[in-house]
Amino acid sequence: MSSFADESIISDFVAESREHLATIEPDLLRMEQEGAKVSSEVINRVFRAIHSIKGGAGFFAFDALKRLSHAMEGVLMQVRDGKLKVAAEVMDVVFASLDRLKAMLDDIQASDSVPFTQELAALEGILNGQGVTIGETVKGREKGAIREFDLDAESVRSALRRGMNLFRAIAYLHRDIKDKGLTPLAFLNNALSVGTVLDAFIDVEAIADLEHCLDQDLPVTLLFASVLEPDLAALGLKLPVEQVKVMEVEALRKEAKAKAKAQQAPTVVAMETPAEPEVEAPAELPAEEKTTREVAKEAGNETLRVRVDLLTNLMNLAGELVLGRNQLVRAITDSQFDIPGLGTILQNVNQVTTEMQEGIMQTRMQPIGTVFSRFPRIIRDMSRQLEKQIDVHIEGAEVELDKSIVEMLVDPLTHIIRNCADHAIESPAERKKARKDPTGTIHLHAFHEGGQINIAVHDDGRGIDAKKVLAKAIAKGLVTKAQGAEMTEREMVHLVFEPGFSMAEKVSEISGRGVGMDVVRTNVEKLGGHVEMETELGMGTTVRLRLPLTLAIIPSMIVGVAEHRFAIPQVNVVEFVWVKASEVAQRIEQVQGALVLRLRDKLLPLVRLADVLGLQRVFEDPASGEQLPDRRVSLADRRGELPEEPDNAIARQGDRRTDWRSDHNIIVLRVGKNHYGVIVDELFDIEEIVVKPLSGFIQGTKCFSGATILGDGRVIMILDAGGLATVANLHFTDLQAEELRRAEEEKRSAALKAARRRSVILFEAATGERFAVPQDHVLRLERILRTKIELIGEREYIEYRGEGLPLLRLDQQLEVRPLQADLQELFLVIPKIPGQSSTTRPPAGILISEILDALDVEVELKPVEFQGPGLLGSAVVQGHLTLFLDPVELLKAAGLMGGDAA
Amino acid sequence: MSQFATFHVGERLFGLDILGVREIIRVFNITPVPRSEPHIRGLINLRGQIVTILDLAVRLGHEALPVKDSSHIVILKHSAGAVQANGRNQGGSQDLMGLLVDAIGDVVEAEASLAEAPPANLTDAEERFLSGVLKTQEGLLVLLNLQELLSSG
Repeated sequence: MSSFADESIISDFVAESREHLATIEPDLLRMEQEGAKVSSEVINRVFRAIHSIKGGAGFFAFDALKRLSHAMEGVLMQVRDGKLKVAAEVMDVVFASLDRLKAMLDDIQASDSVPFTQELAALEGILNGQGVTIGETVKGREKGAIREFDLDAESVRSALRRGMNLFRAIAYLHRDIKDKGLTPLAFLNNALSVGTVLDAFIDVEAIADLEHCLDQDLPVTLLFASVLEPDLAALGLKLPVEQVKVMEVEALRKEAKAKAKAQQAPTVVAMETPAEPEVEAPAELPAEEKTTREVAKEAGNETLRVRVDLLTNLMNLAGELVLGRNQLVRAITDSQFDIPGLGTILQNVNQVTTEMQEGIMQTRMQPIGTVFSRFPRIIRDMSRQLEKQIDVHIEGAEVELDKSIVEMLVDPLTHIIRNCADHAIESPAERKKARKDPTGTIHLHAFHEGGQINIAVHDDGRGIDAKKVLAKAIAKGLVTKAQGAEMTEREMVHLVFEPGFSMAEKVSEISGRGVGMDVVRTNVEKLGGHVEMETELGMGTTVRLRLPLTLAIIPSMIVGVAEHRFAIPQVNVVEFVWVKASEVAQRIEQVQGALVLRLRDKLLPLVRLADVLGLQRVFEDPASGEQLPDRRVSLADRRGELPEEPDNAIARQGDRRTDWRSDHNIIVLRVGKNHYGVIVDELFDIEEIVVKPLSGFIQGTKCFSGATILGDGRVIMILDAGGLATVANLHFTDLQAEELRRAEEEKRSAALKAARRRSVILFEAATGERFAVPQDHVLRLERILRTKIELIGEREYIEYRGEGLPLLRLDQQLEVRPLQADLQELFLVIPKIPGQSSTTRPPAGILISEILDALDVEVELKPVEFQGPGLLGSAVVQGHLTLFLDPVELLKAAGLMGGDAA
Repeated sequence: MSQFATFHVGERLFGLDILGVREIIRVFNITPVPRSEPHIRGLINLRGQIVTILDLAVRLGHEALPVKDSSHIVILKHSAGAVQANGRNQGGSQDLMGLLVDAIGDVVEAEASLAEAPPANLTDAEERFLSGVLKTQEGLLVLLNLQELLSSG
């Protein structure tokens, strides 16, 4: 029967119906979550979607699709009218039916063969529980020549209650729909914006009577309910007035009577009509109006279906155009011709090209939400299966990515999400025990950062025990014990990305099948992205993905080696290091036969691009400016370190090892979590390049990920950072061990240094005699007038904060000269007594003549000949011999400790 | 009668069915591909498409010849991938191939069925890539086996 309709119309119907199903899934989830509180808008949206699928199915006579969607609609109507509570069991049935609908749409011509009786029975069971029957009218259909409406009492009743008129409208498939550039679904959607379509069908039997049925335009009959008057309804339906007839409820009843002898439902309708509309209509109408407006708004955002290969082709052409533009710009800038106005034209072309390229790129952009939106459903099903409570929060669903990337993200993200639900989130009981909210949360967040897309998947589950991961990895032979011992916690956690790693104690149906996070990492890296993981035991785990916006055009750094140029994708570039020729000795060295760059605290493996690629190295001779082949085997070859013989001195003039032309340009590249440096001869611009795939002949080289055409028309190769590291045979782990060893050494020597390092206060007592006290032994420094010093007995005192403070002169304890007697101003060093607070009255002060400095010194103290208590030793500070004192010991020796000397 | 595009490599005259030739261009700016097999001469930019150039001399087991003024590139209609997939042309213009030759000859008309088996004094490398020999007014025309030429390895 469906052969009456055009294939293309049907495929449109399928595509649109699929979209409907995709959009209602989140709405259904919301209904389930919010229960009775869910806004009528959401229910209406779901209802409309199912409704238009049902309408379309009736249109094309896909019986199974129609019956199932019809039953779903019935259930949804009960929900909408508030007669049915949204219980999980109901939603299970609805979701199951939804999946069946999807299966039917997957192969629409075979849709009748999809088994759906179970779902249908379940839906009908729900409805029967509500005292509603559906579908019984369908059976009478084949008997009469004139097709009747499939009606069920509920839908008619519901429409009439809202004070709607019923119309019988006939639309001709070609004249009224196709010729106006509409699709049947668009037509139905339009109808839905002005009212409710209660039923729609193609009167196939009527056509079949005619001889030339194929020439005949197909009449589609609608039973349509709307609050509009007849003439307005025709206008709203975009049909000629004569094709829209008002159906009196009486007529409807007659028709219903003719159709099934003993059918009571429509009669009931007729009887109920006068009683109810007054009561409910006012309350319902605003909602209806709102829906109409919403539909209108959606319609304003018109869309067009375009084949993807068309877009891909367009994108390639745009790429070519960009290259052509670049070549043109270069050619014109280089040429000497001066054509008036050319500059402006060029600028115009330039701008239009840029905008066009961006525009075309955008056509391929899809919101990440298309991937995210499937997760609430997955989590819902899993949480019911696992008997866990899990909430999903989605943020940044509008962030856009190239279609191909979005598609390739589905599997890795699904895997991560499943892991979260299956392994990370604990059971409610376990969560309660850990004093967490029994409902676990999975947070999906997408955002832009630094020209890349970041996706974070965070759960508040049990986290990952780094030690367990390590133990497992060792057990599986992925790492050795020795390697494990040197790993940081972060590195241990990242072992989950290693191939063959599975953390699952038991293999569950849902995840833990051995293919694991390594697939996630491989997939993401294939896209030019990175995966990282952070975890806190008991608090949760975050998996972060970083991805490029698009695959086809990538910003790349152009580098030169010998006479060749190469492009390095910027996502791989971490930084650029410039090592002066004179610094090579300090910064580049050899570890176990491999070249290494010392960068901050890290040791980076270093390769010469020319060597890896097997190119002849050249250097510019500082004297002649010639390019000569470089014969040095290693950068660490430093023949200059040998004692130079005098007759060699002339040859050494303008030594190229210190000449600026021998400076090293090093690009630090990233491969997964490892970094390494590549020595190149020259650095050029960063250019936006269009990636072209390589011929099968060349793919075996592993060093390149593609080729591109530069603005000047020349072809250059794009370097593959990972492949380069493989070809160069870099051993990252060896270096990490070396790094660790050095860090240890560094720590030791730093500790040693710190032990020798002191902060001291430098002062003078008698002129020219210098002393130092460690700063942490000094509480305060005070300036006093000599006249204030009072002598009581043998001891000198001064009034300090209202009390008498005993004074100590250094010459009383040590063999030093006394202070000059004529000084008017003197200084006091008030020592800090360990274990006493700064407010405690100090026991005594040491008299000195001048404070010189407060500084950090690194000294080794030497014993002094007249060693005495309180003397730490001596050292040369600022070119003077200085005695280091311990004030507390001094006071002790003077008998001033223990308080009451006064 | 078939038409053959002819070209010189070293002292020999080679031929390809003209229907398999897309165009013949002068040599310019070949970008070498480091670490690739020796018979890969490099890549060129042919109006925005990247073409992989095979050095025919090297492929046939001889020394690579320097690029001279007379050198040309024969761009093939077949892409390597399509030939490999047993002639099933996937419309893949992605993998365009070209042959670097020393000089270009005339287009020769000859009956392909008259081709004789390649002479026995050939090297192994040559034998694999040749499909036959035709006697023409210009002398012996050696026909190339495109499928073998474009198969990797």
